[in-house]
Order: sequence, then C-alpha cells, then structure tokens
Amino acid sequence: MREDAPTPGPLGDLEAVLADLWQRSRATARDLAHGLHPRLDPTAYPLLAVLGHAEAMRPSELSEALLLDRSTVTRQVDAAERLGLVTRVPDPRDARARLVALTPGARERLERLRRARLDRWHASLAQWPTQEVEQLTRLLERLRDAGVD
Amino acid sequence: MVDERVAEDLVQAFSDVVRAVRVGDRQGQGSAPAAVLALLADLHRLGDVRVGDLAAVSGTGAPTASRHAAAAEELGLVVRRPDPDDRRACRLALTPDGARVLEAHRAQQSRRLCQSLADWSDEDADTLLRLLRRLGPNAPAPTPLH
Repeated sequence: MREDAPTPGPLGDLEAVLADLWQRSRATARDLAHGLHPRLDPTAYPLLAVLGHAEAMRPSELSEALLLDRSTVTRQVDAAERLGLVTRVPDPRDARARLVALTPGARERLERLRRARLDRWHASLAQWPTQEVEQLTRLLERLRDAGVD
Repeated sequence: MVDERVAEDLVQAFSDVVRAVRVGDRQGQGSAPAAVLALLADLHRLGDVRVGDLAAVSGTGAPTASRHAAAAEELGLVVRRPDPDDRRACRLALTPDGARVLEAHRAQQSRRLCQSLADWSDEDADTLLRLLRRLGPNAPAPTPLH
C-alpha cells in the first residue's frame, strides 16, 4: 500500500467523507458537553454518556468501558463532581469502595440531549426506506469490526 | 417512517465506528498528545488565532486551552506572536513542524482507514459512500458514545 498519495476511486472519496464526519463529531461532542455544563471539558462527555446507561459504576468499570486508564478516569470524575454532574456513592457490595453516579440534574439533561439527537436522526432518516438504514448500519458495523484502529 | 429501533441501531453503529477511530488514534499517536493534535487541527483550520478565541472554538475553557497551547509551544509545534491589533494579546500560529506533525497524523488516520477497507469490494465502498452522502451535512454527526 502506498504511504502518502490519496487513494483513488470510491475508497478515496469514502475517506474524505469519513474525515469530514470525524471533524463534525468533534464539534458535536463539544456541543453536547456544553449542553450538560458550560465548563465541562468535551473529552469528559463519554464518561457522562456511559454513566447515563447505568445506575452507578465502579471506577474500574468506567475505565474499562471508556478505554481510559484509572488516573484519567479519576481526574474526569473529580472535575465532573466539582461541576455537580456526578457524585460518589457507597458501594453496597463493598463498604470500602465507592461508585460513581450521575446526579439527578445531570441525568435529566443528558436524557433531554439524547432525545433531541435521536429526534434529529429521525428527521434526517424520515424519507429513507428502512432497508437502506439497515444497510448503512451493516456497513458501519463491518467498518467497526474491521477495526478502524 | 423508519422504526425507532432501526434508527437507534444506526446511531449505535455510527458511534462505535467513531469510537474505534478514537481508540486507534490513542494507540497510534506518538508524535503528540491528542489534545495537542486537536489544537493543531483547530489552528490549521482557523489560521492564527488568539488563545481566547481558541478556547471558545475548542470549548475547553481558557485555562485548558492555555495549557495545551503551552504544551504545543514546548514541543515547537506552535509559536506565539504579538497580536498586531492588541498589544497585550498574542496570537498562536502553526510552525512548519506543527504542520508536519498534523499532516503525518492525518496520513496515518487515512492509512488505517485504507487498511480496514482493503478487502472491501468497490461496490460495498460505493454503497457506504452513497448512503453517507445521502445523510448529508444536516444529519447529526456521530459521537463516540451516544
């Protein structure tokens, strides 16, 4: 494979389209983080999104779900706690341990943002035949499984 | 009208792909931390900017933006210049090294993508391209986790 020249044909075009998507996805993460709290660092949005799917999680579980090392998770949790977005609660299974959970206010805002995004997706897909949405989903899953990494 | 579940599956798949790219970025980076690369990308897009404007664009807040700018400056990837419009302020600009690091990072991202698409037929790549284009610029962009 050549190292530098752009790939010709559909693959090259696909690369450009995907590069544009990554760019926009960074902006989206920024907007979502701001929607949760004006001072939340955008890189911490995934932490809150993961917590939105659970009641409360151990720091080790967060670290695994986010693919971040423990010290980064701790730093993000500390920052989110200072902003009143997450709270540390006792672990019912282990008296010495603490779990991390969203505060009710953060959960409500997160849910509202998620709902709004899903509505936008629905609007974008309104004219699409279901079959084509499923086809796109399959191709994206294949891209993921090929390990874009 | 597309079923709720079908749409959710798509959003999930999108989110997973973006996440895979992020993870690859994290593993593949060696040249500079991700925050510095993001700063270089912003500078490349915007041209010379004040740190304050950069903070607004990146959404990180002024202290974080200053920290990233200082890190990039230390690596010789950006340079501070006096702001001609405001003597108390300064502007950040990419150095040639900064531009090279950014370019190398982008090339590496494309290379990884090409590798993962290597065994795709032109037809599948075409279909994916067509469907992504059809989503258009107004569709919400995927986030690493939704």
